[in-house]
Amino acid sequence: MGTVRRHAFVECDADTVWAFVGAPERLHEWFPITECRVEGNKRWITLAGGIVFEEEIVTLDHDLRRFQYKIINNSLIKFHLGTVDVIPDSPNRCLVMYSTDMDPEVLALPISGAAGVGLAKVKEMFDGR
Amino acid sequence: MGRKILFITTDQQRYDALGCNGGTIARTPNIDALSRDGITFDRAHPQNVVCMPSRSTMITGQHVSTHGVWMNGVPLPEDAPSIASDLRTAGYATALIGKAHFEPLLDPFLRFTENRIGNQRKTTDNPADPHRGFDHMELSTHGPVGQLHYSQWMRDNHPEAIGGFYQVLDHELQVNALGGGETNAPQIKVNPIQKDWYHTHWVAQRTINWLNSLPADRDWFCWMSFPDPHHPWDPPASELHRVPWREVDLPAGYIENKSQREKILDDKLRHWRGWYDGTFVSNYEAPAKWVPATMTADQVREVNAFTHVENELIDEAIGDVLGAITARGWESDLDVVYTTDHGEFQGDFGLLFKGPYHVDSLMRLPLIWRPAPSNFRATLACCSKAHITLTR
Repeated sequence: MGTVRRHAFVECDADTVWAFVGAPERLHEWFPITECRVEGNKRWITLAGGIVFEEEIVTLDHDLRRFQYKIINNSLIKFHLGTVDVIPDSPNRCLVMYSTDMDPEVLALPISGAAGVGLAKVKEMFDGR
Repeated sequence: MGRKILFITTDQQRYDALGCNGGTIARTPNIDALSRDGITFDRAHPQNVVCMPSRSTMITGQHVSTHGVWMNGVPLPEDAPSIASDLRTAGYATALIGKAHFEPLLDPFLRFTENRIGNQRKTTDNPADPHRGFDHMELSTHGPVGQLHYSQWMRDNHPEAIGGFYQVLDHELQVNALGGGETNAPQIKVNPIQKDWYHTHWVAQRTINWLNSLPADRDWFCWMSFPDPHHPWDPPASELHRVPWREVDLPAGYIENKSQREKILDDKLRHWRGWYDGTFVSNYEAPAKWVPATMTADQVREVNAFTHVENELIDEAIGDVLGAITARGWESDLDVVYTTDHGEFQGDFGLLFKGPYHVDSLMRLPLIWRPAPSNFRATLACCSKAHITLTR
């Protein structure tokens, strides 16, 4: 099992940041993918190379500010759980964490790299707002 | 007429792979001629013994501690210095054809330009300010995997031949330990692909195409980068007759007596024996599930035979490119530099592949500079001042 975690401190209140990253249908606005579609508790994302991942939304907890999803129906992936947490650090600052647990473990690395790009985008969008 | 620079690299090639360096198996007449007419360095060392760090040093001229690519999988920053950028600024047309590997290959999100332009079947991301200073990039790795140009070309033109290559990753996406050939040696496969479709030939032909697109009076810098003889060892089956593996002598560095071999390994730092016994992973590019201690002498012979077939194909491809350059009338103004990124154990110490083992197998590299014949006297004077060892 590969387990990786990326994080960013964002100079913005947790509720404002969560309203954005906690919206599963807006993933393409900050994560390096090209398309995103949500139906009920299912989400389909399209990567730049055309690969489509089907995902199941496991947790969308607005009180905890936690989003969890897993990639499903993919013959390559034996296990996956992705978690996004937004944790208040002060009234105007929060910690955004993106964690991935995955088997095959090697796939956790490119997802982690993409999460790093995504978190940098969130920081760019919300720092100082 | 100005200067033309052909920078030829191979991948994971030993110093003794070449006839000019004492090699006795592969026939390498074209490279030997470059050596004969130029300067052969007999103690050239890389700054790191895996691909990405070593290649990053080649393009930047920096130590690993400066460019930061300390391991495969760590991308070279896009704004890192580049010899191609410097030469382009000086007016040269620039190209990199073959294996770049300044950026990770496993890239499903296409975050990296090498993979992105391959996926888009483009040869540049931005003609006005191209990636790493190369006006033209057509890229390949060790087979038709991933997004690079050779993979796309194979998918478009010869999809039926893709399955003939060794499958680099296993079902867990780990480096495959599966054996093949007649000895079940790791990362060996008899590949039914036609020679003309193999990546060595593709790199040479793409290089010729790019050179032929240039005006006769244009200065140019072309990095022609062959992915071979890096594992997997899966050259075209039609060429295996060149080096029958049963007739290959065991390499001098292979210690046949098991107890003697293991005594030598025990006298080294602990990670040597740990890797040999399969208890320690020291390089994620070697198959973790393969245990070097299980390797037989025949497997060493077969790996060596396949490797030297690949070395001969590289030499012939270089001959094709040099012929095309001569046909353009550029020969007398052509500087050729030939080297590789790191070596290969190829049986030495009972090991294959590479890793943090700083011995001649991995650290002593072929390096040849054939200065432009029109400028040879000036070049020799320069070398003499720089105290560079001349062996020929």
